[in-house]
Order: sequence, then structure tokens, then C-alpha cells
Amino acid sequence: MESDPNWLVNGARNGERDAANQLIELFYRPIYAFLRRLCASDADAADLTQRTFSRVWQALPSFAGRASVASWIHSIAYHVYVDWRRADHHTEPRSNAWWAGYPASGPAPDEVVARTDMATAIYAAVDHLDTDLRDTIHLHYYQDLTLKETADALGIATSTVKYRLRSALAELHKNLASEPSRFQLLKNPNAP
Amino acid sequence: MNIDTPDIEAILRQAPRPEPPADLKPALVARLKLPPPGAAPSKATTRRLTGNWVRRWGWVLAPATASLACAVVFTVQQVEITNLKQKLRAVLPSPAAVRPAQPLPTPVASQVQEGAAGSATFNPEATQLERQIAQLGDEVNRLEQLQAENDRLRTQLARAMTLPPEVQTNLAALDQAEARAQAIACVNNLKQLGLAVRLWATDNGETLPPDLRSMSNEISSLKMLVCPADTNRQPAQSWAALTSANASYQYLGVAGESVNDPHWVLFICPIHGTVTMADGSVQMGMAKAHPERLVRRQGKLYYENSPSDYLGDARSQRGSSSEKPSPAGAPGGAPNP
Repeated sequence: MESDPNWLVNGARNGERDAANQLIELFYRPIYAFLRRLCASDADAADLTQRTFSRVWQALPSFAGRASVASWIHSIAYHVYVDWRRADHHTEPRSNAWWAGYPASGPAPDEVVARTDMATAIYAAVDHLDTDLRDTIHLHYYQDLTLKETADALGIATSTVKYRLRSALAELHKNLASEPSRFQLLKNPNAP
Repeated sequence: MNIDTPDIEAILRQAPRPEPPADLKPALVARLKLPPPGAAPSKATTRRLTGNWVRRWGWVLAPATASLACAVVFTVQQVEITNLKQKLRAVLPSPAAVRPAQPLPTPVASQVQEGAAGSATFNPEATQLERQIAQLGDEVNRLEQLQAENDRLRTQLARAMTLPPEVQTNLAALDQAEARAQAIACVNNLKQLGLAVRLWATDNGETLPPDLRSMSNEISSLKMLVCPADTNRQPAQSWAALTSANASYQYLGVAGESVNDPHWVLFICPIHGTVTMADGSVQMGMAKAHPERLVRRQGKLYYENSPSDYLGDARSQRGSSSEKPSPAGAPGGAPNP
């Protein structure tokens, strides 16, 4: 019961530091991963994660509970990222091979080896999508948010999330079928 | 690379998660700064809403408040008059006692004056009567003053109930703004319908749907089929119950035809004259403002962007197949749900 995010938010709102620490423990890894994939830099991701939680503490009194805590914090992180990108005039890092060096989770090792090329090409193709489609893919698939949580985090309708996901998957399918070599080359960006 | 969409989704869900640096969590805990317990969210929004409400309705509330105040004063005066009348009735023993308020006959008056001048002790009844006469005179004077005040307030109330010219001007502007808002909502509906046709065409080989009911998956709400200015039609409860009485807009598409001509008019609003093109664009009030730009060819209604150019070059090409739309701007025919 104590790990219920809503209970933790209420506790933090009442000034309980333990609840706030548990909130950090619960969300700082996924938020860092989310920001790291978007901003293409370890240092920037850590800095943006700190800004995100700073805003979370400021926004605690205004959390009304209409959305889930996960989508609320992801929404704050997404806006922190957008503000950072606009303020510092960052160009879009289309591919920084963030997946390189991180072992994939889920399937067995032999399956991972068998699907490494395919996964690498897909992750690279995702980074080449338009910003709206890419951010939706990040939140729904990479961050495991539901459709409604993704919609709440992006401030759009659930139907728009469905439309974007459908468009993104269609574009990925088309790109991978038409230009596989373009994305396979990105498997190892340092390769000659 | 041949890969199915479910495989792509599975790989996306198993994306590796970048691990945060070891010093990130201590830094987050160190910078933890909670707001004081019980801190309320900002009330700027509430204040802004209140300010807007007063600014919007103040010109109506001011005369209404004045009228209400006058009505309250008028009621209080009426109650006071009623009370005074009851006091008068209580003071006067009988209706005959009112008569002394009127000028007394000369002999009786002289007797009273003589009695008063002579000795009050000899005629105590006359003294008491004289006192009552004076008291009644005062009451009558107060009653007349209250009636005059009552008339004045009644006039003021009638004046307040008549709206001043600037308020009438504001009401006219309000009506215009409402009509404008309805026209814009109508444009929005037609835009959504155009988008629904495009979605349907995308899934069906770039062809047009036969009717509105075919687009039940693409049209999100049945309210979209009714123009806000159309008071004769109500949205249908369900797609199964949809009839021509539930759709203001006329669908002019032909089933199975390709959507390759962007100037083909697919929807038209008979009330505002707004039209939707096959490319999804909407021309607000076009059928009423420029009916000459709507040309019917081979049973379809087209929008000609530049009629002068068209008439100069292509009048002969149109030939007898061109025909003007009906004078009302609508191409005729019942809605096609």
C-alpha cells in the first residue's frame, strides 16, 4: 500500500520526506531513461531529471489526481525537455545510438542475438521519425505508459495517440522495407 | 528487411533502458524541497475567471441591481402605508370620526374656538377633539407625502426597466457574436466531415463513401451532422436511428467515385452556404456570397476558384453540361444520411 503512487503523492504533499523519497525511487530511473533517449546526452539527461523532480515538488499542491501519477510526472518531464530544447536551440538528435551498450531486457539471450540487427534498425528508424510520432512511441512503448497515460502526458486526446502510433508503425514498416541498409549502417555508428 | 508490425511492437516494448548515473539519486534526494503542508494551488485562475465574469455581465447586472433596489424600496413604502392606514383606523373610533378632519361648519367652529379661547377646563371634550383633529391632520399630511414618494419611485422603476440605448446596442452585438460563433462551429463541423471522408477514402481505395452512415467509424459524434444554427433538426441518438431529420448538411459525393478533383464540393450547409471540397478544405459562406462560383457538371457540383478566367477560356468546353445551382445556393435534394 505504501508504494501506491497516489498515496505517496498525498504523503509528499503533507510534507512527508519518506513518501517523497519513495517517489524518487519509483520514478527516477524511467524518467532518466526517457530523457536520456530524447536528449542524447548522459549529463543533460541527469540535469533534466533533476529539473523534472524540482518541478514535481513545486507542482505537488496542484496535482488533482485526474491523471495517473506516472503520466503526470512524464508530462512534467516532457515539458522540461521541450523547454530545454527551445531555450538552448538544440537541433534534433536524430540518432545517437542510445541503445548501444545497454543490454535489451525481456527475451532470452539467444533471441536477443538473433534479433539484434532488427532491433537496432528499428530503434534507429524510430529516431528518424517526426517529433510527434517519435515522442508518442517513446512514451507508449519505451516507457510502458497506457494509451490514456500517454495522452495525458502529451496533453492530447487518446484517439490522437492511437492515430500517431498507427502512423508511426506504418512509417517504420515502410522505411524498414524500402531502405534497410540506411538503418543497418547505424548499428555501429563508429564503424567506417 | 521483412518484418511484421507485431514484431516491431514487440521489439519496441523490449527496448533497453539507459541506467542513470550512480550519483543521480543522492543528488535528487539532496535537492528535495517539499512545499509547506496545506499549500493551496495558485488562485490566479479563479481570480481571472471572476474578473472576466464581472466584465462580461456587469452591464446587465448594473440596471438589474438598480431595478431590484427600487422594487425593494417600493415594497417597504407600501408596507409602511398599510401600517399607517391601520393606525388611522385604530385612532378613529368610527367612520364618522373622520369628518372633523374636514372644515367644520362655521357655527360649530366658532363654538370650538370660543370654547378654546374662553376656558379649556369648561369644555374638555372640545380640547380632546381639537387634539385629535391636529393629530389626524398630521397623519393625512404624512400619508400624502408617502403617496408622492411612492409615485416618484414608481416612475423611477419604470425608467430603469427601459433599457438604455447603449445596452440595446450591446444586445445587438451579442446577437451578432452568437451568429458568428454558430457560423464558425458550422465550419468546424464541415471540416471534420471532410476529414472523415478523407479517412474513409484512405481505407477504401481512394473512393468516396455512398452516404453519411458509411462513415460511422470516421465521424466521432452525431452532433457533427447538425448545424448549430439549424433549430429544426436534432442530433440522432444512434447511427441506426439516423434520418434526414438528423442531418443539416447535404452530402453530394457519389459512391465509388475517386476523390481526385479537389474542387468537387462534397458537403454544403443550406443555412450558412458553407461548402467542403474534396481536398478537405472549407469555404465559409461561399454558396451564399458567390453562388456563381458553384457550377454543376455531370451531376456533380464544382467550385470554380476564378470564374472570370474560367469563363474566358473554358466556356466552350463546358458547353451544355454546365448548369447553375438553384437560387438558394443549395444543389437540391434531401440530405443523404
